[in-house]
Amino acid sequence: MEREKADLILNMGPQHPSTHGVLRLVLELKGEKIIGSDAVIGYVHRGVEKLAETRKYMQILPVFDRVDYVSANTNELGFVLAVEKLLGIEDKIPERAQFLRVIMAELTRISSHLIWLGTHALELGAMSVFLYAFREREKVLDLFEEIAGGRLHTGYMRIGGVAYDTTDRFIEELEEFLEIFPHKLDEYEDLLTENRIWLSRTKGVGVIDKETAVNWGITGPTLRAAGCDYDVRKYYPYCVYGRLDFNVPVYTEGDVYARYRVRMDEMRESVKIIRQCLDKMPEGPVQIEDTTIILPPKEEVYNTMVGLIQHFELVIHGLTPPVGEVYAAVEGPRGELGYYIVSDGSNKPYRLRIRPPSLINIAILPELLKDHYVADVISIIGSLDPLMGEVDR
Amino acid sequence: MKFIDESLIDVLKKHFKDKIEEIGTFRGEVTVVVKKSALKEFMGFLRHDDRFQMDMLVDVTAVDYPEHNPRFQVVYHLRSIPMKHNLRVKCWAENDEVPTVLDLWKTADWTEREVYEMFGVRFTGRELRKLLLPQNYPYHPLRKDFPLEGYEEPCELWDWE
Repeated sequence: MEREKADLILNMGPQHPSTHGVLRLVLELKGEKIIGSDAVIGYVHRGVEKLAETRKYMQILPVFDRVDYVSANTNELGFVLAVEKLLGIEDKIPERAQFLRVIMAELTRISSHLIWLGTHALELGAMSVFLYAFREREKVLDLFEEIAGGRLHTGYMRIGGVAYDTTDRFIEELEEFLEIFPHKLDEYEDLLTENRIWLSRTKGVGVIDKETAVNWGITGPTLRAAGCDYDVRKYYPYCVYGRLDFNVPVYTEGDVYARYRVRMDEMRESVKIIRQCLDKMPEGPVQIEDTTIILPPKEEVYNTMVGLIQHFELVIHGLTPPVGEVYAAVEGPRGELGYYIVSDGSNKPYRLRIRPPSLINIAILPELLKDHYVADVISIIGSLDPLMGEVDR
Repeated sequence: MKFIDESLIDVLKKHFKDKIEEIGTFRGEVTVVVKKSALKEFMGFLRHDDRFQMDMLVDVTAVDYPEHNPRFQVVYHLRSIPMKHNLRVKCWAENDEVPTVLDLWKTADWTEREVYEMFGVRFTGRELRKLLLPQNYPYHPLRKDFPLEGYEEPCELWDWE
């Protein structure tokens, strides 16, 4: 006797090791096949948008470090760009700061993609890639520590510039990293790209075509693997991306394997971008000179009356942008990370909306999983690379 | 970020006339406020017209103005991948309701559910469930009158079903 309904309802997560954090899926199975599914999210909902409404613009930055906790720099960058747009000071940011922002954003992309590569391969049974990827990620985190002081939550961006200038050691270590990293990428690719098990687990699995991807609002590597070349860095260049020469890798297959290839190529492009930044970066200040926007240097605060007054003025009153609303986006490691700020002229945002790429990318899951086998669920979730801190906010 | 240019704004003005309440530009970003009755038609026009080709719905969100009547304003960010331009569309939610745009863009699926649970704005013409919060959670946290520290809740609420 055939049943219309599912044979088995399988609960997957939220503590499942391969759902990238606390994503819970309820799968309706017919044998090994999925005939329906539902995603349950919200386990790490922290109310970041509500919290942001109660804080001054400068105080919000450390909160956004923790939204997407493996790519703090791009999160901060998006917010900082939005506030600068609101204040109308985009053109006044020193050039050196713009280059440093790009360097940090690209290093973040590398470190985030390395986590993805390591965990995604681990889930599909390739243990060694995980160890290799985390070895290189450690080097990136050391670089963050050297320039910003923090490893995961760097707190490096400032409204009106960046926190610190480079040190000699940072440049030295970065050069060294850029030298060795492409070889390390070759190493990972040796292990995976033509690996038969890897190919059979990823090729033709979880196919999203271009039209579907655009219709679902998918951005980032997932969209580019489906044949659309949309990349915020190329379409709406921010910082100095318009002056740098880099390619946007696009594949047309739209399957898990194509997403893997896009991310691997992106890391190579990131190396290229950082290399150009190091060559083109001019000398000069790293912060805007207007002390009504950024805190004055500590020597001035401690030694001069004016510096002290400016410091307290800014700490107590905060920034007061004009009434209006802006949307600014950056290309985060997971896709378009947008910030929509509504200002009522006070020193706190009236409404702050984060457009989380992870949330919008995984909304397709229930439809995508249909007619796949249970084993493919792991590889599909891994390839979309959701980060639950960002999904739930 | 590139938004639609003057000539396209004129097209919208000519085509919709008094169905548009307001068109504003701030920092190069174009915002159109449409009447709720015309929202569906307006969105369909943007989606399918050759001059606009807005094939991507970037985001749906809402803003709470407790003093204003109607209280909530729903905000849509639209983009055209082939034309590379953007547009922000806003609509006041009379009676806390607006028609859904799920049939035009699938992005609306989860984003509208989020607006529904956070603000209590209902989207008509689709099935609505809460997205992040427990299904029987009685409040709407992003409303201005909801306190930051929240209300204390009995444990039974967190059933996670």
